[in-house]
Amino acid sequence: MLEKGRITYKQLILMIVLSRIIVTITYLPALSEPPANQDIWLSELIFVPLQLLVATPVYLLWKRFPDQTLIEYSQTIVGKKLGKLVSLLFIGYFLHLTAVILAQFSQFLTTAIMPETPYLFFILTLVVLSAYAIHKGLEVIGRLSELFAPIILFAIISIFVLLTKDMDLKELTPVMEKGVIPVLQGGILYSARTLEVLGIAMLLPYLNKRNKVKTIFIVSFALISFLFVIITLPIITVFGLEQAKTSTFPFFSAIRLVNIGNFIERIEAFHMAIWILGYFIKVSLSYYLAVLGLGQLFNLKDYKPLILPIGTIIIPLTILISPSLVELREFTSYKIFAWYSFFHILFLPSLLLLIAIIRKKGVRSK
Amino acid sequence: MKKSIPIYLLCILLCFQLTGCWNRRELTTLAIVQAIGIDRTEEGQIGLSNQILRPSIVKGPGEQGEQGDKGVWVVTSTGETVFDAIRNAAIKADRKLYYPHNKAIILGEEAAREGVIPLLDFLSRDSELRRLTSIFIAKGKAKDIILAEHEQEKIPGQAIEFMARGSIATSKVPKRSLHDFLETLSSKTSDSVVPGINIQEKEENGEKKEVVVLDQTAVFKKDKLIGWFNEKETRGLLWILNEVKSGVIVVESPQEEETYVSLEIIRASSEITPEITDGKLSVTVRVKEEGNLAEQMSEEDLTQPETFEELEKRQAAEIEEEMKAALNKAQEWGVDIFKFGEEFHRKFPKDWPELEENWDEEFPKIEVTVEVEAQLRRSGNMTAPVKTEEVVEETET
Repeated sequence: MLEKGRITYKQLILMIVLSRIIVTITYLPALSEPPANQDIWLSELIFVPLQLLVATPVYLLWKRFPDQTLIEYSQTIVGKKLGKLVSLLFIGYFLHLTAVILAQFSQFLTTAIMPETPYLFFILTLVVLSAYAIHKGLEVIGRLSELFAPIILFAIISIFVLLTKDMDLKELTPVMEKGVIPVLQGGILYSARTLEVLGIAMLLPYLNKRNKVKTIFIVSFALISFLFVIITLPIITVFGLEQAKTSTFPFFSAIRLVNIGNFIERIEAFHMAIWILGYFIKVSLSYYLAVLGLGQLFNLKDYKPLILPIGTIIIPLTILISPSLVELREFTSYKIFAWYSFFHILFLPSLLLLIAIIRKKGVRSK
Repeated sequence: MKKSIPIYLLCILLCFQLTGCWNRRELTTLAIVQAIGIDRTEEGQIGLSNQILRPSIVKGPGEQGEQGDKGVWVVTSTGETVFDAIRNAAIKADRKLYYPHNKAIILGEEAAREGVIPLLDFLSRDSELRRLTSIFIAKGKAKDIILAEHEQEKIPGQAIEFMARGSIATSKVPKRSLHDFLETLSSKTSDSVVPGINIQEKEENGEKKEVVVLDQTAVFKKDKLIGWFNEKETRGLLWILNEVKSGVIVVESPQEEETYVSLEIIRASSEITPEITDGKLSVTVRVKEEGNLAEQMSEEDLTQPETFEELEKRQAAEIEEEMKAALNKAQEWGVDIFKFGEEFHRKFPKDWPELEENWDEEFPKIEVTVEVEAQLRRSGNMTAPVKTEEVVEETET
């Protein structure tokens, strides 16, 4: 096998969770998506079953091919040639997303913290660091997430606690102002943003024990949903919904409002610290998936020679896709991104599953 | 030897970290702005006044600054936009203007009458400025407030911030940060209030002096200043908004006319209940207040059950009067500064879209009922007041 390392189910869960919530900490795209009102937190709760539904094809595919990754079983299911084409779509998606994530990362730093630093500098530093982590293998990324997770979770929860003083829970009413449908729509859109579903599909064969796969799906999505709510509640109740909508980085702006007795204030540095750690995990994960996928596509013995070439593709790609924050926002808005993402995380796996069932490929569930 | 090469390399690489960030700033190259004032000039341009700290004058406690020197200096500039004016100020200042420690934002009255949203955009967009900064509306020019001196503090910006913090003791001026102001501005139905700031002339030891005071409350319709609330109306407003934290209610003594009793507000809370009956909107405002007898200027003993009860009634009547004054004026001006709209939105989400459309017409027609439940709890360290006869007796024995 290409990757010799093994990760525990806990590491996989934390990797998925950190990688997913970090965008919420930065941009909270949910604010401009339906329901786009005070019901966002409801959508975030309903997200768990919807996300499980979206991830079902991936789970069933794993049941049929427990020892293969997404790239490998695509080729088993639809044959070598067509399979390679499908795999290329997935790899392209990983590559593109790595670039999008890097662009978001550098846009935030240049807007909010260091406006004069050239943004190539941030991209370069992060890519080099991630490349090093990937070079050391999946186990290292897994352990890093295990190491960072307590810090990040602690910081998010303490920020929530520091803001509770200023919370006005009245802001959350009226509940379900426009009925249930926008809330459901919201939940579906959030699940569309979870590219980590494919991450699970790629990494399940590398688990050291196979008996906790259901737990991985349920616990990671539940944890994501919980953290979503923890992040969103202060934004709606302290920062105010109308203002958050006009804010580029709502959570960051909300943290800047922390002021306890004119003593505990200006704690944005907290946010910066956890945020960079989180983005490091996210970039490493999607970068790694692209490298691993490509290695499997070409049946290489080792994926390491691919790390640097792919890195050199990612950096120009990042600059190419995000000439400005405005264009980046347009692409990542739900009208475009949700469909783009659904095609890869829901449509393609479902299609593969259907073909696998028809052509009777893989192991039937035991 | 081979193994140590990476370590040496790492050490060399770490040296690069020591130079710090790209846009690093040394304290000695910064002009720390303590307060900014924004006016509109006669030509319609933005007039900006920056109050800049002079660290060499403002020294720690124990050290003596040079007498007569001001702790700050003021740089004024003009520009087509706020940002333009800020950059134009950089030509006049020898150091880079640095805003994160800005303590107060003051807008000129004229500028506020023309609309504040254009002025506030930069302040909320730029990452150097903070949203928790206190905001004030100057009666007259903001520049004059920025230039004014204060007796206690060497830094006027800080003095203004302390004044805002201290004003809680009276509940006669609201306390608003840039964030609070933007919050009400971005609401479709609610209107905003901002504390006013003014210069008053005062005679002291035969000298005429100018003092900066927090004075009245600026009331906005959308983003335009339309008028001022006096102290009584302001406290009426704060009762309804549940922002009264402390303060003194002065009522006439039940025993003697023209002598007064001070009742200290210990805690207060309010509740707004909107109602729609047959298409007519009504609101019930319930205020619960708890106070102490803090001072009495009459010689009668007021700590009797009957008089205490009478004081409670007078206290409630005074609160009610204050609230009614605020309500009447606000409804006359058609400004929903009480956030009634939001309450209707919460309770009647189905009717809300229609109400929101016509809120400007609906708001003045709302029938407001005021209910006050005021209680007196304690009477301080004394029960009955000191009486002159008793004092005389004591001295005789």
